[in-house]
Parts: sequence; C-alpha cells; structure tokens
Amino acid sequence: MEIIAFCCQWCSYAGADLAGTSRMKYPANLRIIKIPCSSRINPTFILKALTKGADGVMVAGCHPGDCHYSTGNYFTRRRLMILKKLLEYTGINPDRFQLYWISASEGHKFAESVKEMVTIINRITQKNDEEKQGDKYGK
Amino acid sequence: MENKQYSQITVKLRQRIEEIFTQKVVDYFLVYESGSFWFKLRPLLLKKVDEAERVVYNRLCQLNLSTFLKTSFRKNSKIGLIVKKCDLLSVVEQLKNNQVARENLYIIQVACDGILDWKKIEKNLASESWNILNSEESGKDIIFDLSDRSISIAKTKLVMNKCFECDMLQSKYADEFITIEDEELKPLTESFVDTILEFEKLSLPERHAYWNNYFSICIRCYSCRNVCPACFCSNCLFDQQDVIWINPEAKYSENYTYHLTRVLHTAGECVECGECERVCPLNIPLKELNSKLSSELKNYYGYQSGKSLDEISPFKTYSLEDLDEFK
Repeated sequence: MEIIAFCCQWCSYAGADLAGTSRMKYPANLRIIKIPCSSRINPTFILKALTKGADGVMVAGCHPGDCHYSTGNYFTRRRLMILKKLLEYTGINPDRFQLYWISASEGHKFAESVKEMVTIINRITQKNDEEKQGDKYGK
Repeated sequence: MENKQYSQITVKLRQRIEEIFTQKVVDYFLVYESGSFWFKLRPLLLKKVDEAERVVYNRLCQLNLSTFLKTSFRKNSKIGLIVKKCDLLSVVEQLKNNQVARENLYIIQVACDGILDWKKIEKNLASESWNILNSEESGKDIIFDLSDRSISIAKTKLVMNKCFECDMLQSKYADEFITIEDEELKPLTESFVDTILEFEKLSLPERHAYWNNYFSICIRCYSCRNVCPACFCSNCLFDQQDVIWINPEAKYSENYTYHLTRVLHTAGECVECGECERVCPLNIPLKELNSKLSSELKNYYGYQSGKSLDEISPFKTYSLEDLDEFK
C-alpha cells in the first residue's frame, strides 16, 4: 500500500524530519515529495498520483496564517477543497485524499497523521473487499 | 421566434455590419454563415464590406464565437462580433483576464430565445432527422417539414438545457442589441430535471462505472480544449515536451487526469456554455463536470462566472475566514 505525501519545504518537511530524529514510529508506506509551498500543488499532481497506482495522497502544509510565503496556503485551501468535491463526484472515494496542517515543530502530529491516513485507506480497502467491488480505477 | 423574425434580424444585422465597416469602426467581423447542410452554420471572418451578404442568423447558431478571440495574431486589430447572451458571458471572462482589450471589441448582442440542440432533434425524430426540408416555429412548438408530412414537437423538448437559465435581456456589456420588433422575448419557464442532484443519488461504485464508461472511450482528440473560450493558455500543460504529464495513450487513467485537470484549470472562467459537450465526437457529457464545479463555487464563495467584470475568480483571491474542513 503506497501513500504519496506532498510536504511543504518549510513546515511539514521539517516536521517530518523532527519525527525522524525523535525516532517516532509511524508506518513505512509513505513516499514524501518535497515542494516549496503547499500552493505549488497542481490538481494534476494528485490526479496523476491516484491514477498511477497510489492508494492515497496526503498534502501537508503550514498552518493558515503561518505560510512561509505569507498567503500560499489560503489558495491551497480553496483549490483542494473543490478538488475533493470533484473526486467524490466522479466516483473516487474522497477519503483517499487528505490535507493536513503540520508545522515544523509538530513531529508527533506528522506521525499521527500518517497513522490516521493508513487507517483510513485500510478501512476503504476492507470495505471494498467486502462489497467485492473496486472504487479505484483499473480494477 | 418565428422564421420571419429570424429573417428580420438577419437583414438588420447585415445592414448594421455594412454600416460599421464603412465607418471603419472595426477591421474584421466574426459572424455565422451557412454551412454544408441546412442545420449547420460555419463561423466566418468578414474582412470586406461586400461580403456582408453572407451573414446568416437562425435558431441553430450554436457555436460560441468568442473562442476565436483567443488567437494571438489579431491582438491589435479591432474585431466586431455577434454574440448571444450566453456567448457574452465568455467574452466578459476573457476581458476580465486581459485576453482582449475592451476598446478593440465591438459587441453586437442578438436576440435569442433558445438554441436548438441537434442531439435532441435526432433523439425525437430518429431516422427522419436527415429528411427535414424546413423548420418553423408556431406558438410553443417547432414544426419540421418532411417531404410527405410535418411533425410538430414542443420547443422545450428541443432547446439546449442552458437556455432554461437565460433571462434573454440585453446585457450592459453589449454595444448594441438587435432584437425583434413589437414584442419582448419571454424566458423559458419550464423546469427541468437537475442532473447534478439526480446523479448524486448514485453510490460511489455506480458513479465510477458511469464515468469509467465515458473516459474509457474518450480518444483525446482535444476538441473540448480547442473550442473552449476559457481555455486560453498559450502553452497548454498537456503540450509540454520536457515534462510529460499524461501518456499519449487514450486510456481511462490518462483521460481522467486530462478531463478533471481541464475542469479545475478553467474553474473561475468556465461559463457553462456547453460547447465542449456539443463538439465531442463521442457525446461525452462533459458539461456535467463543469456544472458541478460552478455550483460548488456558487455554494462556497457566492461566485458566478461571466456576470460582472468586477467579480474576481475565487481561485485568485482568498479570505481569512474561508471554510476550513482540514485538520
């Protein structure tokens, strides 16, 4: 099970770093991609990740009001909320995409977010197996 | 509007276009002319005043002429164009985004009380739709003359869905309004089924099956992108050669990424003119995605595209009190 994480360079990537140096345990299903700011996200990135086989996509940015580039994450918030509605409209479970606000000192929040994400995806997979239907494309 | 009213409008249009050319207000004029079949109309770029006789206007003028404002070589010349109310929304969006300067445009808005949808004509008349000799409106029905008989169908069954939302009045952004004499156009009042609400009653796997069906047959001809007036990027993301975002293969995964990205990239500029759905060779219902997006923007940010030059697209601005569903 693969989860792609887009982490903003100034806050959440440092938070992930802190989780690592503090030796916090979190699931190893994550692949982190560093981006300068969470507003760098083009909806194409998330759609391409999902259609290329990622089970889930996580985007982590600075808290609103604390963006390193002052206003980036306000735009992220607007764009990605609409993207989530559109994912749900076209039949992909919107829980596969999550957005978290993680600051550079919140190593434990990073670890908790990853654990939560993995739990959500596991629940979706289990529910799909029970219904013997796939909601992901390609099945 | 009856055939004779369409003829009146066409005559008035031709006169006005001749006058505008002789007064040298514009260098070119974007109009409609008749095409290869009676129900087909072609776009035409008028360059000389003697060609004004080729102008045609009737209830099958489906094309949104504002897509031709996208080409860059005419950026400094003055262009006049004929618009219906729905096309004018696209022009307003292009003006908002500095794609064309207001002083280089001369906008003639023409009266329209519903454009016929060729797909609905085919559905209602089936095999007879290719034998139609003439069409005429009488009251609330459209009468089609075939070689041996006439068929009468209610107008509300043949008109495009977007026409039910039009108020048919003159817009403040038009330089001129050519309409019929002695009568006011009445907006279509018959209610129609809200497809978005109906669709959202389906479960997730059913929705996926519906879109899987369409996105698997899409051949990625890019007609939807080429005809769209809101798709005005000079370098499209999908034409990039240094980073290939989607494979050339036309399968579900690539088509899904392409269509949803296109909807999200044209989010604040799309006015739901429906051209993408009309030109699709495989009849994919693309307008549903755009309608869903517009309704979400209206819900959350109170934004309606194309209504006013002062309203900023919600993705170009932000508010500190935005709804934050994320943790």
